[in-house]
Amino acid sequence: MTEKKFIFVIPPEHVRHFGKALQVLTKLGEEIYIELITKTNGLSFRTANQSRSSYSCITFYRDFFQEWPQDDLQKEKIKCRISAKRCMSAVHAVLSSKLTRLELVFDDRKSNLSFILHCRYNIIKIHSCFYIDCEKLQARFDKQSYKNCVSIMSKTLQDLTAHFPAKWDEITIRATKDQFIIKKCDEIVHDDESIVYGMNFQVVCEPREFISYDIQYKSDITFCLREFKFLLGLADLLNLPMTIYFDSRGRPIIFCFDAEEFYFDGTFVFATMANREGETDISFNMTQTSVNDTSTMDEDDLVSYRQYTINTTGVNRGGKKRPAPSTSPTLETQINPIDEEFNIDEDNISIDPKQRISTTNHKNTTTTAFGDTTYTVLSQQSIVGLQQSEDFMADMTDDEDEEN
Amino acid sequence: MLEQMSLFDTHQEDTDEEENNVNEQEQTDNDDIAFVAKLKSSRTLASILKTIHFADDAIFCALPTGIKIIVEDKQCVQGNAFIDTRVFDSYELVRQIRFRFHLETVLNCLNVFGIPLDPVTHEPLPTNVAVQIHYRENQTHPLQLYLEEEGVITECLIKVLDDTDTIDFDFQTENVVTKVVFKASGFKEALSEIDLKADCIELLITQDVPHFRLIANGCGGSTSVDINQDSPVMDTFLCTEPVNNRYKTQFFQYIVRALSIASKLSLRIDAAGILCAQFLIYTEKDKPSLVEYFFGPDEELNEHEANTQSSDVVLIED
Repeated sequence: MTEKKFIFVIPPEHVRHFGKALQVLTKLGEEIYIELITKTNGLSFRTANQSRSSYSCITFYRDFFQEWPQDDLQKEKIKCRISAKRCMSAVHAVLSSKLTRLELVFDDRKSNLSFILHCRYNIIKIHSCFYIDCEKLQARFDKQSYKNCVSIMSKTLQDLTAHFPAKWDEITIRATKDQFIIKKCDEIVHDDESIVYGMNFQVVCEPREFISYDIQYKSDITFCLREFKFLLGLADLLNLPMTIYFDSRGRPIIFCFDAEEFYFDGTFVFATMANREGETDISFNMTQTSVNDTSTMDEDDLVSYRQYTINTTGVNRGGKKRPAPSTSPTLETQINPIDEEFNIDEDNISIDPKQRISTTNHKNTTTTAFGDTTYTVLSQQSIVGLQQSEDFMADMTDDEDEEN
Repeated sequence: MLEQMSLFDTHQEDTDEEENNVNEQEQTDNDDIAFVAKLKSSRTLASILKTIHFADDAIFCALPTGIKIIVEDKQCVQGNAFIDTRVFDSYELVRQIRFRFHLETVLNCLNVFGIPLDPVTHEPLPTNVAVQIHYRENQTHPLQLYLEEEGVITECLIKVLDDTDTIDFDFQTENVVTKVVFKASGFKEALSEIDLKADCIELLITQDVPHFRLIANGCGGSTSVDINQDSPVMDTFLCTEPVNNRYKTQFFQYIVRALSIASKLSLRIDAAGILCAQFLIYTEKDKPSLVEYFFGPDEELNEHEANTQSSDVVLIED
């Protein structure tokens, strides 16, 4: 970066959206990575949680801002990270005051990001935090390769899951062609191998609750409830259609929304519980070459994900990684018959042309800069870790490339 | 509304008797009575005392003009509360008195009937608790507080401690470098996101923009508030010399606390860098009460200052 100042001005009508989006990010990770993407004219804010089992990215486009750094400055890039805690206090200030203007100033000389809040009564509040130049944070996943894709209004989703108690660590989604069930994960296994059934309830939705419903693979996946609830915190402000991509256990679940009228979009990738070690979904073929990734996976990252699952199973459940429900093998074998039925049934074919269009654009990908640090959200064992991308230049086509 | 039982006009026999006992005692020790004050609402006194409650002990002075309570903390902060005689319903002073007392105890006694809070704002609600303060010069007699709510009287006898000297900050009122007066509510809003975990607060007051700036430097970044001279929050702005001083953050925590019950705040800094913060507090009566703080600047950080006179802060004891 240069010795210049990048100034972004957010108009009053977008301030709350900015504050709320950033608030969600500060809850989902310890550090927020900021990048100015010149190709798409977007300023992206990304974060990943400590155990690297979730990745979030919110990008604000040129029209979101009232003022944008001039073109000559755009030859230089912004690539840095800030502490989420510092950001949290600034965001809290943004959300609690009525602002006439909000400025974001990246001062490269002092490595300082300032949030300048113009409040009422001619009062100006400035929250600044230091940033560190770093490489960008990017997850690799391919939305196209997912067999299941549903789209639902975020407020509806929030209402459905509102009464799930926060103390439940994980939430399970069971989706078939006819039903979409949201429930708590089935069993609790104690150290002595006895099974205890706690209280459970489930929400059963029909496909017509959804804007689009395309299920080609009977899914039964479990992921973190807490982070999911943070993500739905955005739903209070914006009731937007949220697209969910998912399929087999272990493969991460992706939530996307595109607030076109507000000029920003977001992608959230959460890891899901894998099957018992060694078990794979036999009938499911992965299209991406991420099998390569597993072999070079860092041992530490594997440990960190296991640690995460151990921590989330709770004290009274012992240190076991929760096994898959015993019904899963039977689910898998039924895939073929369902597929057959499915092909005939035209009503359930997802009509989501917008999604299709945007994701096919990335055929002509450019290679990312040498030395970028990326981490991979792996498919089979849903282990997420940090990797050097220079090893995987050939795999760039698989990236969810936001530089298009 | 029910006719309230009060210390002022007792009707029932029980309280009459109690009152007679007190009166009798008073008659016998009448020579000793130095001070009697009566207040219809103890909340007035309690809320003012709460704002200067930052140390264990306080000095109580009863003067012809009113009550003055002085609280000091480690020789670097002094808080004074002035309650004028006209705020009281009855104020009899025989001789000027001055003694030290345990502030928390007195506060607990004043709130002995509880502090009802507004369910929405969580602010204390006004109550019907009346208070009488009696003090005899004879040090063996304790400070007497009588609190009464709807016919129930609580008698509190609080031991007083020996008087101690208090700091004279020697605030040079004739040599005030800058004076700014704010509306309390607006200023409180401005301070609402200041990081009070920072080590020190920097005050910058200049004739140019920004006229008034408060900076809190924390780890990993800083928070600052700029208030322009034109702001409706600022009532008065006078600045003869630019001021850039640092003060300990805890001082500003006291300021924020006092802002909740004040209507106006005046900040004055003299040539030595001593900050005098005065809060105007209106209670039921028209006559306002005053709470003021004196803060000394953080000396070691101001060594590089060229503009302010480099005189050390001299603490003169009485």
